Amino acid sequence: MVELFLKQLLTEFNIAPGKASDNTVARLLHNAKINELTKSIIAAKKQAINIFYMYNETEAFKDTKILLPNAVSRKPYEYQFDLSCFPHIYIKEIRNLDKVGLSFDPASAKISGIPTSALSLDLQLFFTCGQEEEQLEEIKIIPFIVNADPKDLWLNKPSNKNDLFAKADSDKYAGTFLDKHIVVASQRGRSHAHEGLFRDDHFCTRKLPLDWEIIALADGAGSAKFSRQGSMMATTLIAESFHDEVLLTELSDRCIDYLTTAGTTTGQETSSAEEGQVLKHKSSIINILYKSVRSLHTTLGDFARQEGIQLKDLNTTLIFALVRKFDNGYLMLTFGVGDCPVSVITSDPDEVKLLNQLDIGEFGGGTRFVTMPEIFTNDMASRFAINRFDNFSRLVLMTDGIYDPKFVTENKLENKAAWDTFFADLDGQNEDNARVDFLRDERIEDQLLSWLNFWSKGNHDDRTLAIIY
Amino acid sequence: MTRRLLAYFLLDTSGSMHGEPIQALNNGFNGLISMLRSDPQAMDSLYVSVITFDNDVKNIIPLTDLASFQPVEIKCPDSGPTHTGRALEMLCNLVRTDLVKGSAEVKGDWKPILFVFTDGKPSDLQLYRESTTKVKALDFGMIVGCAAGPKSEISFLKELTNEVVRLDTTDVNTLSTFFRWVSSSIQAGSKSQGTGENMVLPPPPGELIIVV
Repeated sequence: MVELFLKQLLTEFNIAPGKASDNTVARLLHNAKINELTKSIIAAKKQAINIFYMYNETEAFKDTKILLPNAVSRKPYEYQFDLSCFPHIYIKEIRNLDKVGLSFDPASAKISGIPTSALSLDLQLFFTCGQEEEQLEEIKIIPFIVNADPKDLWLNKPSNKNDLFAKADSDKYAGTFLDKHIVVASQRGRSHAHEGLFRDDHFCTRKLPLDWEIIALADGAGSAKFSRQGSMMATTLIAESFHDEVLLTELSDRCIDYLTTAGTTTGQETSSAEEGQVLKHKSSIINILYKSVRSLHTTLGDFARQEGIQLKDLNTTLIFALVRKFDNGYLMLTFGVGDCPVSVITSDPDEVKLLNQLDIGEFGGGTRFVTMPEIFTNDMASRFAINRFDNFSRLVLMTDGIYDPKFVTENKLENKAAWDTFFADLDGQNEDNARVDFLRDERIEDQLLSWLNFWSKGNHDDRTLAIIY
Repeated sequence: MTRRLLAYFLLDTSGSMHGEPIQALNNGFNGLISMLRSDPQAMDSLYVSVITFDNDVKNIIPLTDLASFQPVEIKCPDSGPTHTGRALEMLCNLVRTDLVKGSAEVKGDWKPILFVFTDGKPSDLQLYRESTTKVKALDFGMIVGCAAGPKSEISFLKELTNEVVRLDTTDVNTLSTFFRWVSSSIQAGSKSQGTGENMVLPPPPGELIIVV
C-alpha cells in the first residue's frame, strides 16, 4: 500500500525512477511517519469519493423523471416509490400531499389514501442521501394531478322553456297496448343537461281505429339545431298519419290477405305462384306504410321552408311499430331509419329478433335520418318489415342512448344472453338497485324513468325506452 | 369499451419557435389539457396524441386518455427546418393503427380531429403535398390549421383544410386564447351527425382571424 502510494506520489511530482529513488522508496516502506501519512491520505480520499457519490446520487435522483399516475378524486390511491437505483436516498417527507388528503409513509416509501378533491399541484419531496455528518438534504419537485370524478363534473342546467320549440326534459307514459301493457320513458342526456340544451329524443304512442296501435321513437341529431322539433314531429305525425279509418281498413284487408296466403304456405312446399301472391300482398302493405313515411318527409320539408330553416336542422332518426292482433297472432309492421333498434322477444320459442336494419356508420354518431332525401331510393323497401308472432313476451324500442351502453354493438341485439342481462338489469340487478317491476303495475313509468339515470362511462346521450309486455 | 374521440396535435418546434414562442406553446397546450380535465365528456372519451416537428419528427405523446395525461414539456432546437410533411406522414401511420372503426362486433370511435400548429412553412414541400392528400382520405371529422406569428404562411395550411386560423403573434395571451377555443372545438367533436356531414366549429374569439 505504502509502496504504491509512494510510486504514485513520485509520478505526480515528476521524479524519474532510478536507482536512488528506488532505494529511497525501499527505505521509506518502514518509515512510521510515511505509513501514517499514507493511511490518512487514503482515508481522506475515501471520504472525498464518498461525498462525491452522495452528491452524485442526489443529482441523479433529482434528474430522474418520476411519473406519479394521476389520481381520481374519492378513489383510493397508492404509489410505491422505486428507490432500488438509489440505495442511499431516503424520502423523509412529502409536502403538499396533505392538500389533497393523501399521506406518505417514509419507512415504506409509499403514498396512500383517498384524495379529497381534484387538484393539480407540485409535490415537494424532502429527501436525504447518506449518513451522519456527510448527509445531504435536498428537495425534488414532482407534479401531481388529482382528476375530478367525471360524475362530479356534470352540471344539470335547465333548458330554456322560452326557446323556440321548447320541450320537457323528460317524458313518460304507461297504459295498455292491445291486450298487453306499455311503458315508455324518455330522459334528457347528461351531455345536454350539462349545457342546458333540450332533449332531442321523442316518443309517441296512439290507439288507432280498427284495433291498431302504434309506438314511435325518434332520436334527433345532436349536430342539428332543431332536431328536438324534428323528433317530435316525426313521431307524432307518423302516429297521426295512421289515424285514418279508410287507410286502416285497406291496411287490415291487405294484412288479412297476406296472413291467409303466407299462413297456407308456411312449412309446405311453396309454388312460385304462391310466393308471388305473398310478395304481392307484402308490397301492397309496404306501399301503404311507404306513403305515410314519404308524406312525413314532405311535411318536414314544408315545415322547414315555412320556418325559414333548413331541412337538415330537423335531422332525426325514426322507428315505429304498427301492431294489430289478428285471429292467428300479432302482426307487426315496422320501419326504421337510423341507429335505433326494434326488437321482439318471444318466450315460446325463447328467441329474440331484431325487426329493423340499423344504419350504423364506420364512425361513432354517423347514421341516417328520415329528413334525408337519399333514403327514399331503391333499398327503401328493406327499411320496412312485416312479422307475425303467435305471441310475444316483450316488444322493445329504444334509442341509441340505451342501446350504446347496454348492448354496445349491433350483433349483441340478436344475442339472447345480452337480452337476459338487459332484463335482469331492468329487474334491479344494477349498482343503483333501480328496479322496474313489470308484475305490479304501480307507477311503472316513474320506475322506468329513474332506471334511465344509470351511469355508464362515455354514454350520456338522451335515453328513450319503450317496452310492450 | 366506450366510443373514443381521438385528437391529434401537430406542433411546430422548428428553430423559429425558440425562446418565448415555445414557452407560450407549452403554456397554452398544458392549459388546454387542464381546461379539458374539467369537461366530463372529454374526461370520458378524449384521447390525445402529440407529434412535434422540426428537423426531427417525434410522437412525443403517443395516444393517451385524458385522465392519464401527464404535463408535458415541449422543447425545440435553436435552429432548423420545419418538416411538416414528415409529420403528416407519421400522423397517417398513427391514425391507421390507433383508430377503431365500427362494425357489428366493435364500437367505432368518433371521427378523429386534427390540429396543426405552425409558425412557418413546410421545408419538405413535396412530401407535404403528397401527405395532405393522404390525410384528407382519412376522413377526419375536423382539421384545424393554425398559422401563428408574422412568418407563418396560410396558403400551405389551406391546402390541408378550409378551417385555418391566423394568430398575429405567438405570445402567451394569444396562444392561451387559441387553445381555449380549441377546447370548445373539441367538445363539438362528439355529437351525432349524418353520414357525410361535417362538424361545425364554434365561433372563434375576436383575437383569432379566421381565414375562409
